Amino acid sequence: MKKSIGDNMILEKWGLEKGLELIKKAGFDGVELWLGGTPWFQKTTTDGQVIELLRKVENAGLMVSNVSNTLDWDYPISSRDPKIRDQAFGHIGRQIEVAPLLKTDAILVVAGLVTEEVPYNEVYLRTVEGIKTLAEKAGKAKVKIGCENCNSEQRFLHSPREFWQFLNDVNSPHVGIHLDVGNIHDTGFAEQWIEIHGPRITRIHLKDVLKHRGRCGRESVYTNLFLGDNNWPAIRAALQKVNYDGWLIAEMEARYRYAEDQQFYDTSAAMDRLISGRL
Amino acid sequence: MEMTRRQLLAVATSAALLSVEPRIQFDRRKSLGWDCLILDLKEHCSLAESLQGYEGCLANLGLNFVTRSHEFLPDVLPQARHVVIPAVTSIDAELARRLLNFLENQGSVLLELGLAFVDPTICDLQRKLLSSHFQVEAQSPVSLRSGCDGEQCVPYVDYLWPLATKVRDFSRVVPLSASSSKAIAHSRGITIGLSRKVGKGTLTILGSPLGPVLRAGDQEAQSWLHAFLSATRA
Repeated sequence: MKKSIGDNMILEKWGLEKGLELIKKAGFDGVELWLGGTPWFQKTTTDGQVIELLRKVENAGLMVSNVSNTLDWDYPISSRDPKIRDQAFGHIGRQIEVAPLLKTDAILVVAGLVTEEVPYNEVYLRTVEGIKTLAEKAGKAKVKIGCENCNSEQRFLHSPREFWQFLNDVNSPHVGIHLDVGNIHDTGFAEQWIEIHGPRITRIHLKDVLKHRGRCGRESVYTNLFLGDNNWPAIRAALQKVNYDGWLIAEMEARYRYAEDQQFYDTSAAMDRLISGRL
Repeated sequence: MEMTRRQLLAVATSAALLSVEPRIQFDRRKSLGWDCLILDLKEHCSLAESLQGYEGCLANLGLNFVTRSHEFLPDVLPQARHVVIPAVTSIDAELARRLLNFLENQGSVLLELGLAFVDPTICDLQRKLLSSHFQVEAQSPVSLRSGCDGEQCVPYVDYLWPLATKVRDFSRVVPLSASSSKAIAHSRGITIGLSRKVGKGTLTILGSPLGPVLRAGDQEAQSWLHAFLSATRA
């Protein structure tokens, strides 16, 4: 398995090049690029600038593990407003377009957002139809859409079987799950999600989670690897069982307050321990 | 709310039918006629899913319906009892004339406004047309969510006629008013459904889209539509 971490972890004061250098130095193999999440990668970034971005990544000795976006929360494909849905198709479509330019075959989307206003049944239908439409474009570009399980934040597809049914309804070889093992909280067990989805897993986000505490306002329940309540030996065993050999991508929500670069080294070392089984 | 004996029977029958057997059979006006014509206004329908919602619901109810676009109206209109126009954003004078003629001859029109999702300039123009053609005053769209929080945010439209029921709102609604009409739906004190007699027929206008809610499988919305079609059939 290969290790990656998001470019949204790079502090603005460092700049992209220095950030990429740090990622490489910390022992990562790749970087996850977040469309809309950094100054260097926006919807308005041209193809030429995207190619230049790849050049910088490769110059640092890294690969692009996948293309994610931060825009789905404000512009979900499940919105009632057709104009907002159009914007969602726009930025996800852009992810699909740039993925081959960045030499990766996977994108991440947060598909569907249940709110007080837009209820589950509406969200389900629009999301299935929207992802089906995008799947055609993804297929042509030879890109896989990984729908992330943001269980609590999305208030959608809370259980692994529910997610499995969703993927069945989408029914496309170009759509799978971008599994985040930290997002399951106390609603289940990451290792069971891995077993159920197996070959449909496009990429894996790694973080730990403090279970049984819920979300308390803006307080994060996510924490560094091995500090939370995930059962990491079980997660590793499940990954082996389903023969997952793809990218593991660190997604740290809580940041170090001091010595910010240390978080890259600590995370990389923890991922090494997970991969090698020294738990 | 006053209700005629006929309307009461229609509502009671539809509720009973929906609970035991969703497929019902309406009498045919003509042997080749349709119970319901869904008018697809294409680019002037702001929510395609609304149209799908009506189609799905009418199919579930076992009604004889057809979906046609504007240009086929002269041929199909005389054969229909009801006309449903989902998520309307634009009605021109020609279409208004045809609908008024249909209403004069005992037809029923359900006009669902889709103005809450269009540019304000289009909305303003259409509000004037609604007023001049149908004597219905439509206000600028409002968000039912603005200014309410927590427990005050009850997400339902209260339908009063022909079936008293609660259906999920669709966030942005068009407030309505008209003289010599009855309010049939409201939410947070805003009238968003009206019905009025036009000639021998009935014109019903909804300021909160019902089609997307039908599409999502809302049982109360389906019951309301069934009761509406029963109560207004010629």
